[in-house]
Amino acid sequence: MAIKKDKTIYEYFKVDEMFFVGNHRDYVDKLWSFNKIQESYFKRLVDLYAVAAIVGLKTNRKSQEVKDDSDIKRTVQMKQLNDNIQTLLPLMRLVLIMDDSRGFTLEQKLESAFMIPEDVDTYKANMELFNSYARGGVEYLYEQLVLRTPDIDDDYTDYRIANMVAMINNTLERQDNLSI
Amino acid sequence: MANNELDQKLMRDMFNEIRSFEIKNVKTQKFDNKKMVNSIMKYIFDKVGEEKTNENQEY
Amino acid sequence: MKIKSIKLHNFMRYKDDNELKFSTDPEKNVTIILGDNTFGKTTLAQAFRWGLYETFNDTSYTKKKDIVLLNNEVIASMGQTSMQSVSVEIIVENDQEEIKFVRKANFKRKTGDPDDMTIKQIGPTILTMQLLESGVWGNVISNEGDNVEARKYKAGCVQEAIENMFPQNLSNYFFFDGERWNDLKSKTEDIKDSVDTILGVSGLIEMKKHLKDIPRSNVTTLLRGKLQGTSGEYERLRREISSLEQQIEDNQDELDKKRQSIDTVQRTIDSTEKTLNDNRKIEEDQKEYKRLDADIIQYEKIQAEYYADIVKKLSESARFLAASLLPELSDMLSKVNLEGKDIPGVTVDTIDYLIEHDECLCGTKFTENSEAHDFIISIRDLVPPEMLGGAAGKLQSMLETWEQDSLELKDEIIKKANDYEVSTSIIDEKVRDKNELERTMDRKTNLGPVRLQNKQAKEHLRTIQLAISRLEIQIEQDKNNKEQKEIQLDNVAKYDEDNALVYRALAYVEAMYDKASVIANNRKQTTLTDLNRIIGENFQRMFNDKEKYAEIGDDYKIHVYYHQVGSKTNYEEENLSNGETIAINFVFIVSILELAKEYRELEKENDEYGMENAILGLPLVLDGPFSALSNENTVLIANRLPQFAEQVIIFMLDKDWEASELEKYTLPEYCYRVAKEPNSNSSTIEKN
Repeated sequence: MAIKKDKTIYEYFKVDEMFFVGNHRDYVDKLWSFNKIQESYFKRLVDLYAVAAIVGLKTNRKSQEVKDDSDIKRTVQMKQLNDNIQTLLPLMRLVLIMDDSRGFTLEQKLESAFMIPEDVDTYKANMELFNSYARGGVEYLYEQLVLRTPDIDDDYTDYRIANMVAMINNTLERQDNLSI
Repeated sequence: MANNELDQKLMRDMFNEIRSFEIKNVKTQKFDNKKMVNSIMKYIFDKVGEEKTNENQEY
Repeated sequence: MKIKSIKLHNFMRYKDDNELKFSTDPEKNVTIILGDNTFGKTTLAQAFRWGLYETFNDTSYTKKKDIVLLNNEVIASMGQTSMQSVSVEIIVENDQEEIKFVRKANFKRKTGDPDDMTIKQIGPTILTMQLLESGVWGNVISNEGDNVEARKYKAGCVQEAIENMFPQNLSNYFFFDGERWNDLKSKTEDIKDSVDTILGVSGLIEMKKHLKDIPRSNVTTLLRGKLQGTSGEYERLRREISSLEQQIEDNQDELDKKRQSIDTVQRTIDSTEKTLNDNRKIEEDQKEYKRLDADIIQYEKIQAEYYADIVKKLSESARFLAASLLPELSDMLSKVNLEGKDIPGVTVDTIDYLIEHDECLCGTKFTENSEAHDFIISIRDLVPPEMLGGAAGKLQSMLETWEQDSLELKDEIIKKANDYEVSTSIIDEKVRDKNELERTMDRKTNLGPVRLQNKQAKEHLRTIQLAISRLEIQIEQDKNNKEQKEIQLDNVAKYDEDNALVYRALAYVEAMYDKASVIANNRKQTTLTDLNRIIGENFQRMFNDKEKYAEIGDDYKIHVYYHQVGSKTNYEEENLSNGETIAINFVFIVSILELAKEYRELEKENDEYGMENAILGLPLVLDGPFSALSNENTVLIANRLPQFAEQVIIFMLDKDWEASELEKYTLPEYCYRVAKEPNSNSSTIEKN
């Protein structure tokens, strides 16, 4: 249909790495430690990223990046993004279809989901949308996995396991009925 | 120094001399570490000085 | 090294002065002191110990804490205020030098009561030495430290001289006490060091120390101090090197202190472990305790695996969670007609076909700018591209696949969580059992405080070890840093001609240091093998037992093994009889001396670097060594002694003397007898 105007193709998860900074970085650190599975809730950072994005979408929770004084960041690396694109790309599409914040019609949402971004601005806007759900998801995961104190009903003595099981159950039940 | 290699005989002589000195001191404890180090240093330095003088004389 | 004489003054049962001169003849080097038991032979052996080390052994008659140094008759004759002294003088001959050691203690009566025989020591024990110079005894050098003839003697110098000639760690061997050989349990490191001393390594180690190893005050550093340079760069490097050296020295001191403290802590750990483990009452309990420990570790591993499994599952849950959006997505997609706008079967391709043929289905022509043409174009824009429908469909079916694939994810997580929970309760139960068992064991044996001490000591040890690694790393870094800077400095300094001499000297120092290292390492490597060979031979000689053999281990202790016991081979005999143990230790010292002699021969043969007097020659002072042996074995071993020891001094009973056949090694004037007057408490030494 349309002739490609510029040579650069903006493909999701193939151009930029994802950085967690500021308080989101702190939450990430509490959820994941490199090579220390006994001290983490997730095996790899890219796993946390993917789960956070979908959880953010399901709980309708977005968050802005807030930088702090230090330069310290946690990076989801390009190789990890590329290797996991089979998961991440569909998640991106889901985000673009289900997100209501842009004021799009359904058709517009569908179009945005299935077309390769035409220009750099679209690419950036969509990546930012995805990442803001990811950040919101990180906050949610932090609250549910780290901060939460288990209920009496929870069956497990290890609080991390209790929280992981509870989270899996809860996020299934509660869709995006949280806000609105 | 014309010859950069060490004189093996000189090295050997100094080695044995110092070792004897050490063995004796191990038994009699006459000198403390500081004195030993100073004596040995002076001995080696003097010997090396001699070596140079002899070498110069050869020319 | 030979002992020339020992003189006792008021020492225990020997009133006034009693002197023993010992044979220093190279061939007939045996001195014999005969006497019945209880007459005072053991006391003479004690005199050696006290004279050299200010220590005693327990004897069959008295515990060492109850030993009274001062002769009883002298005590009885003391008035309230009078002071009497006890002293032991030992003269030693070492190559061309003679050294006189004197240890002296002063005593007064403790109370005014004439019936009270207790005494107390006044002032510290005084230890001194004198060197024989040109036939005359030189100035007295005190162990407290002295300035004698412009030489500075540091505190402890006399004791250190003694230590270097008669290492205390091996004293149980060359002062062989047949009855009480087991008192001092020497640590492996100490035995090793002493063996090194005897076998000639110490001189080399001292040499290395002085040439390079002592931080800051070594020949290398002093020589480098002579280097000259004028640039600021040079001076800066110098300063930095100097401060690094200071740091290395300080850290090294700290490290040494920490290492020493490890000994103390380790001893606490070892002794408390022994107490905790050796208790027969609770042997079964201890086995159970160990089993529980092992189980707990096992279950903790399993538990960790369960946790890891849960984390892995959670890490895969993005698809699972996304799949849960399927209903909502399907709902949304159903609201949009992805195939076309109310025109079943019409796609872009359909419209393109019609436009190409310029004609609609109904027959209307699509002429340029006609209403029909514009309309069909607008329809084309409104009909979604085929690919959109396809892509959406693909997304939907992907989610369906994800849903299928992860149907069980939640259940798997819950299962693992349950497994984890079960293992937690198993672990908890075992920990409870373990603690209960601990309390039971402690109750049975009152070991609670010991256990606490053990735990605390272990914790302390960990802390020290951490500090030690940190220090070691720091020292290594600083040394590397220093080396780098020295290289930089050398690059600047090499060009100055005056420095050439210093660099030459440094090269010689390096070469000599390396040489010393090579020789010392060679010697150390061969020592254990050679010693084992000789011990094996001597053991056979003494015991003549085809069933057993002896070997020295890395712990520098002799172990006795059976070649075969039932189906087990090389089975260690752990319960040796008293006589056997005496004999074993005897084998040890004889073998060391034999090895020393071998090495002395080797040194003689080595023209270049051989140094005979590097090897320590030791006298043997033996108190009743043969009392537990048979006559045959006595002869076998007795005959070897004079060959390897520089000097043999033996206290024994008449019957053993005959059995030993040592007469051929003894000059008549060196045969003594300890006698006791019937009415006297004191003993005397006489020629036999």
